[in-house]
Amino acid sequence: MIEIKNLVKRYGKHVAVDHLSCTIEDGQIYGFLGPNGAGKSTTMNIITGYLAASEGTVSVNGHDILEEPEEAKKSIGYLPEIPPLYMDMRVGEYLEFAARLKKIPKDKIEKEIKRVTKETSIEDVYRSLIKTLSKGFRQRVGLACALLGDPGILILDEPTVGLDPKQIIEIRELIRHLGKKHTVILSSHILSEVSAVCDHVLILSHGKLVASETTEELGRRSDASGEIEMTVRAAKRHLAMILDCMDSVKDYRIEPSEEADCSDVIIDPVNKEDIRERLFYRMAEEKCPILAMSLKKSSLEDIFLELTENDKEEQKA
Amino acid sequence: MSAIYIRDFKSFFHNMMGYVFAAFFLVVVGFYMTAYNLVYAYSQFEYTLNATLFIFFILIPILTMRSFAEERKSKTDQLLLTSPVTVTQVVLGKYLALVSAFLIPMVVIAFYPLLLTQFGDVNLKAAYGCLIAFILMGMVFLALGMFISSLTESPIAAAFISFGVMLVMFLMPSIASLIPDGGLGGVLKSILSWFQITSGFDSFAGGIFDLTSIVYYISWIIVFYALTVQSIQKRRWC
Repeated sequence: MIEIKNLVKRYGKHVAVDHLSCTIEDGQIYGFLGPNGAGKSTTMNIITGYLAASEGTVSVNGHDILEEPEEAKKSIGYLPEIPPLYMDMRVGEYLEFAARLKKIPKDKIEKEIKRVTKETSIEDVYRSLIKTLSKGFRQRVGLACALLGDPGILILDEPTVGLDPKQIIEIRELIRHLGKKHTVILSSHILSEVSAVCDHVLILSHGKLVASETTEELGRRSDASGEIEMTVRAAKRHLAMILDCMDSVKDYRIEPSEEADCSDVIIDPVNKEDIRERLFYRMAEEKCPILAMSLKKSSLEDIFLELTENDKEEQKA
Repeated sequence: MSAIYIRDFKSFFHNMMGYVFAAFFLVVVGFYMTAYNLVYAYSQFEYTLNATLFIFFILIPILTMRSFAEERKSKTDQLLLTSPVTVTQVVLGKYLALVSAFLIPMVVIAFYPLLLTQFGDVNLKAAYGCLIAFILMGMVFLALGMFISSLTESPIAAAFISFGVMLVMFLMPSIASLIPDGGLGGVLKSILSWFQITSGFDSFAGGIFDLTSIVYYISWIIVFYALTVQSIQKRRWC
């Protein structure tokens, strides 16, 4: 379990992390989500003890990262944004070095390396020089290094950046698999990724925690808008006249459609009521065929923007 | 700590730096030894060592420049500093790797006085006493180079700054002699004399084993070692 209390990190006058508090429970996959520069990497660097916080505390399984750094660091495996690889070493050599650095007992090192290379499927490049490896394999070697010693907590900073789509899917599979045994914290600025992999999403903006929700809650939020999207074969004027007469329509927006002689309309019903059937009969009476109609789901991107923009406005005010 | 020591030591010989360093060192010392001890037939190996002091400020920066700057540049320091080892241990491992790479040509040089005994009487005590001081001075410059490397992200910058600082230290006796005696000048002179690393070597070159200089060198090693640890620690706070 990681407890973050009132974390502040200043670089000169710039505040990178602004009074961040949260608790990371065991056995779940957490996603740090935020636009670039939101303080994701800084927070991760503080949790792992690479940077020191200006204010506030981080404790890992009850060990304060500043007071008992060795105990705290032992239970964390960290994959930074750029995997910390020595280009002039071979994969096997590197993992052995990392294993010794993590104080894994000598007689267990070989077994550990075998385990992590299997888990990340890098057995084939075991003897290759790291500088000859592709980005995807370097990422895997970095991940293998983080897995050494079987730490309870894995911290992965943007683990899929710069990978091709196939590799992204593979790494996500791997993370989901790892999430069964480890507590995982990953960061990303891609929402779909976080919602695909994580159980819990922490949204950061300008160093502040603006939302902390489970992925389901986030999903429910996207259903909640209640707006109806519709494509109707009718002139704009005609359609406006019909909608003006309907009591259950609070507001609407008509836009020219891509289809010939049609109009697209977004309707905001009174009390977010589902008025699709009423619309259907009304349009039928008017002999305006409905070509498409659906409840509008705000995309995760919209929610994300909404949450992070709100914060900006608050700051201005 | 031993993991870092072994990795760093090996890396000197992965990227040729170790070989280049040892080769140049031996060429220069070999050249002076040929001139002084073989051609002019001086029996004092101390003269050779005294004449070759200048290679420290040319070669040591090459060895030390990558020490911390390269780690920071390639972000591998994130692995070191997030592992369950203390900064003190990281710096110690790195320093010992530097010292070991430096000692390789020294081991070869240690045979030279023995070679000279083939041709006549050699004061071996003076020769080896001088070699010990030579090695300790090298270790002071290694610690200094490592400290400067920890201040920057660029190995090249580290090399140039180390070169400059070491050059000034070599020229310190001449710089100090330019300052007039008495008053503020006297104070400044005595402050500058603290940094006259090379003048501690004079008595060794004259065949005297000067314990104060040994203590002086060891103090400098500890100072630069501590400064390196502090500079790494400080980086986390800003």
